[in-house]
Amino acid sequence: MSASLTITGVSRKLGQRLVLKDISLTLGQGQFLVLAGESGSGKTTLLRLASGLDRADTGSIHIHGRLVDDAKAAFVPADKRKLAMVFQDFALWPHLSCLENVALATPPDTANRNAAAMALLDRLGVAAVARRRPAQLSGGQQQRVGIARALAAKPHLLLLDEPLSSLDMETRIKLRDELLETVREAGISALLVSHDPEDCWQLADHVAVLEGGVIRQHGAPRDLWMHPASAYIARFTGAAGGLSVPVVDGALEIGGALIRIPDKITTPRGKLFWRDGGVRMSGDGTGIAAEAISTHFDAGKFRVRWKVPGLPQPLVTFEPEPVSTGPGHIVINPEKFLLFTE
Amino acid sequence: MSLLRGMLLALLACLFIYPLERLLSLPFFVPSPGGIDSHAYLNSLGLAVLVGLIVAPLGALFAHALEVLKGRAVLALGFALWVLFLAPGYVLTTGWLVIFTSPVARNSAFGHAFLDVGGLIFLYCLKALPFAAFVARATFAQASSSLAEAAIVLGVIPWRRRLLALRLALPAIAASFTIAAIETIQEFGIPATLGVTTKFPIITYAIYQRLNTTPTDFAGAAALCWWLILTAGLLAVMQLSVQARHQAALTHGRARRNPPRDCAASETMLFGGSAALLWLLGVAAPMLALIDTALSGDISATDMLDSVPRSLGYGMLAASLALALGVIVLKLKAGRARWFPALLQVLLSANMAVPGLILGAGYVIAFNNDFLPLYGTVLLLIIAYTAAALPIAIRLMGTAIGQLDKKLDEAARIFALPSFVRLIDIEAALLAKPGLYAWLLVTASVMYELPISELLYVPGATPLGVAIVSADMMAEYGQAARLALLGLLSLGVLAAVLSVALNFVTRQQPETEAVP
Amino acid sequence: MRRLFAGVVVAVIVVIGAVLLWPAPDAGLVVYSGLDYGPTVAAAFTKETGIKVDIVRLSTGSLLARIASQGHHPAWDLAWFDGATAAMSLDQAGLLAHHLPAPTNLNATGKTMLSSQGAYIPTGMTLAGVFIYDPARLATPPTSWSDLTQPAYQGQVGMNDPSISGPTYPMLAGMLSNAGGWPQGQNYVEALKADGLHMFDKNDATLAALQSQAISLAIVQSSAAVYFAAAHPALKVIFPSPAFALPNVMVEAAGLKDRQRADAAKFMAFVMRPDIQKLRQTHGEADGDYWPITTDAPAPLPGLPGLGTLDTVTLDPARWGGLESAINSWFAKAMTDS
Repeated sequence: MSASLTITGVSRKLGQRLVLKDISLTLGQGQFLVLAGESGSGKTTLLRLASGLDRADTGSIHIHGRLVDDAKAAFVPADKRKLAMVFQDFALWPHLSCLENVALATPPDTANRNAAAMALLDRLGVAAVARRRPAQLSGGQQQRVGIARALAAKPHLLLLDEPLSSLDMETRIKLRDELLETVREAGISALLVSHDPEDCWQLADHVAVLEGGVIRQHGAPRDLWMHPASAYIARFTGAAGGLSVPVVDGALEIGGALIRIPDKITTPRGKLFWRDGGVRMSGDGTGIAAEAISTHFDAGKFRVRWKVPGLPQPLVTFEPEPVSTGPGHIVINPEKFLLFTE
Repeated sequence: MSLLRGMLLALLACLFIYPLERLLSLPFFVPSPGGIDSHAYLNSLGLAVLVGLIVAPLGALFAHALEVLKGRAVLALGFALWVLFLAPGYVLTTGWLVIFTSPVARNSAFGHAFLDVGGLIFLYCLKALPFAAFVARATFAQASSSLAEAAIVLGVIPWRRRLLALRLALPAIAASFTIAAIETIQEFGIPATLGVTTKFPIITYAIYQRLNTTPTDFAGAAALCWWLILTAGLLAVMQLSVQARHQAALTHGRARRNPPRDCAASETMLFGGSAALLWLLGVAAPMLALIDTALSGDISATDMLDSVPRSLGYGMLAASLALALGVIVLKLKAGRARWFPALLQVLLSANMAVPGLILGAGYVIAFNNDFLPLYGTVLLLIIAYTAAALPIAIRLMGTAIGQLDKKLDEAARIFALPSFVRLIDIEAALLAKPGLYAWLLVTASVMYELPISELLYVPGATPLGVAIVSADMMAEYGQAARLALLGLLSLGVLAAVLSVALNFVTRQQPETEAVP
Repeated sequence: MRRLFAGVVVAVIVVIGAVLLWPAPDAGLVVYSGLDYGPTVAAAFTKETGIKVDIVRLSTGSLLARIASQGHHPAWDLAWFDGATAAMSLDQAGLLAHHLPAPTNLNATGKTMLSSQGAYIPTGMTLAGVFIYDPARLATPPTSWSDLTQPAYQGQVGMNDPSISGPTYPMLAGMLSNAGGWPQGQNYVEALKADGLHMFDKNDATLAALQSQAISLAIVQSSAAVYFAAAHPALKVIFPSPAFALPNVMVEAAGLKDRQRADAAKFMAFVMRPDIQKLRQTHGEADGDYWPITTDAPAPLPGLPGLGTLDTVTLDPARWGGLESAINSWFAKAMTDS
């Protein structure tokens, strides 16, 4: 069975800037792929290439085995790709009622388009507002209509452009669940662009991370957590830190001590992250000498900032009890360290 | 797509570059029999600068009020500016001329001043004021209110605050000055109607006279056109440089704007008084004079009534063509090719410096030969109207399209809506309201268009503007007034019918059957 | 509903376009007329001969400018207007057919107006400039051109702008000729200007200024003055000495096909018929006040003195037609220089 979406060696230049460089990516049938990355990393451009709203400069794109863009003569426009899309700011047609929005996207050969549209609105819990225009709805309701509209098109591939980012937290949590459930139920493949780690954990079968126009890492969420390929991915997957530290002969120099770690880099400085427990306060006066400079309550723990000789920025630990400011010690577990070239 | 772009550029070249090239190259090859007299140019330039100086601060002041204040006074002011903006200069002038047909008014000191240069300055100012205010308003609209608030919060003393405000308003005042000066130097209807050009030559009328009175002198007209174009271009460059230098002061970072506030008592007095004055001098006095003279005399003897439906038809047709062409231009501009928008921008900005008078003159020369024997046909008149209306059509539709989220159309494409549905149910429906206003505005401007009509109308099929001005020239003000008012009435009816129809079509379905 | 509305709108625009742009059926003879009686005469001609005439009524100034602009691609066949000098200007630009059939039965005055090459035919005559004044404001009116420079008339006199009003150039040419010719006559016009000569667009505007008392004496074409005085009995007309003859003439576009030439010739003969001249007098508004120049024509309308009682001068149209451009430019400059 062919993949839902295969992108091979795609590049795209916008103005003088090469926004995407030689991107290759595959989305398996029925899978949910989250495309993550910082602003300006090329996520949206890639989504637009997949949707047919833009054309690649080099490379090729296949949807369900069919060549849709080879950067030369072959190009299947957006309306011939059997796609649907959910937009960040909903993009509901403001002059049409919600029902009309959904019905219009329903394939013309559907028996009773209005009834089908109504059923979808009902499925997403917005049937009661079907006759209203989008502007009369809350953001969450509008995005529900947006999702209903996308599903109505009976797409082979669903594209989602940060669909939850303009919603409040409560609505976001609720709608994320509903989205996953609905997509799984419909059995369609989905490509979701996001910079929210929660989307990655809760929705993704696979995650592809774009950095500076290239795919830095592509894998299951667990792989990303275990072996983040970049500082951004480390941070994205929840690692703490981000300190710039000196590197001497492959060991880190923190507070005068040389610490050997599994990750090796060759540059004179590195960017240091750690997973939970990588750095903590020493209770028995052993470890590296440091000075506690502040303590703040932070979501059930105490955030303590330490000044460590030789480090330009303070180092942060989370402790179960408040710590009095002044001299103290910290201990380090190199196994939980992640080090990246700076 | 690039074929389409090429075709469009070829069309634009044929509409603008070819006729202008034919006209403007004339002075280099053919001597002007009458010689070139700088009198008219210097007079017009002087007037343009004077009107700019009078109108710029007023325009900026009114624009600022329209942006930051609310209340009846400001509403009346904004409305008066719109009415003045839409009123053709020669209709306004006709109204005032009617007032001065009375010997008492005519022989008063005010009458003597009005029927001389004073009247020109007065009418130019009335006509330039809305342009100045609207341009300045666009500049203020980008300004962040945090700049003024910062001055208050940081305890800057009031007079320093005023200086600061003035400094911030400089780009707006400069923009007002330029547009007022350009509008004044290019205005044709007022000098053509007021008839003081015999004593005080005006460049636009001098060009027209060389083209449309015997003996014709195209080379001389073209030489004067150069003066006009170069001056407008120079003014525009001046404004752009002021804008570039000072704009940063006005808009920095993210502009945040406060909702308009109520007027203070002094502001109500100032802007209410200004509005009353504008309504009285710009609207009520000339309109009442027109209505009065239209209703007196032998109404049944009104001649050239057919010019009203004819020009309405010209307007509707040219507006439709201009808007359709405008939308195509904007669509192609939105594509991937970068050279196209740049070239288009140059072409259309250049065209703004070329008033209808010059375009019309170019058409007379360019389309009167064995290959393009179009001179003297309705087709050429419609093409010229369309070409002249194209820049404003593109601007109006560009604003309308720009305000629309382009994702709405992208959504329609992704959801594979048939192109017919996309065109009618999405694009046309979304653009219907702004499109209708743009269409009405262009229709009205073509209907009352004067210089192109004068130069290109088909003998025997007189357009409205020509009919009104020739009635003015024969001092048949009743006739002129009746034609002007009938034109307004027919436009009003058209606007009302189309608005109602459009509201009917786009109205929301009742919500009662919502439950499935 | 949306689609229906869109369809209706498109259909309406298409219909308007079709109505405006539909090519006109063969219009027959296209006659540009600067004279009020043109349409009546054309209708009578079509009724009698069955030859279709598309009569286009234009002011003389725009008529001449149109013909000049159209150049060698004329959209007109015949033109009928006041001023042999203007006709000569057009002829010098090579725009007119020659050897037009001269009217039969011309009287002595008429014969003096014939063009040597037959570039135009005279069809009647008015005077280029006469004085119409308000006796209430001007007790002793001027009777000759030189009177106008007297102190009593300072700031009281108005005339038309020759660059706008077609029949005014012949009057200006007459003034110059009377004051010594070109360029010697400039001093006289400059003196008038120094005396505060007012200028208005056309006959009607100058007469309106007289009525609104902006001036006390207007120099306008005789037909306009006589017609206006008939409607405003308080005003009086003076025929100055000398008065300059202003023939109304008909010209034919160069290069017409034979059939059109034949139809044109019929029209030219038709307008000179006595019964048609009567029609011109009675349906011509101001232009009806002309002096016929054929021996079999009806008498001029009452209000017009016999030509024999007037001191009239006919200018050489070839000489003054060739000077029109130079004189008009000079005049515009002279009138605006302060």
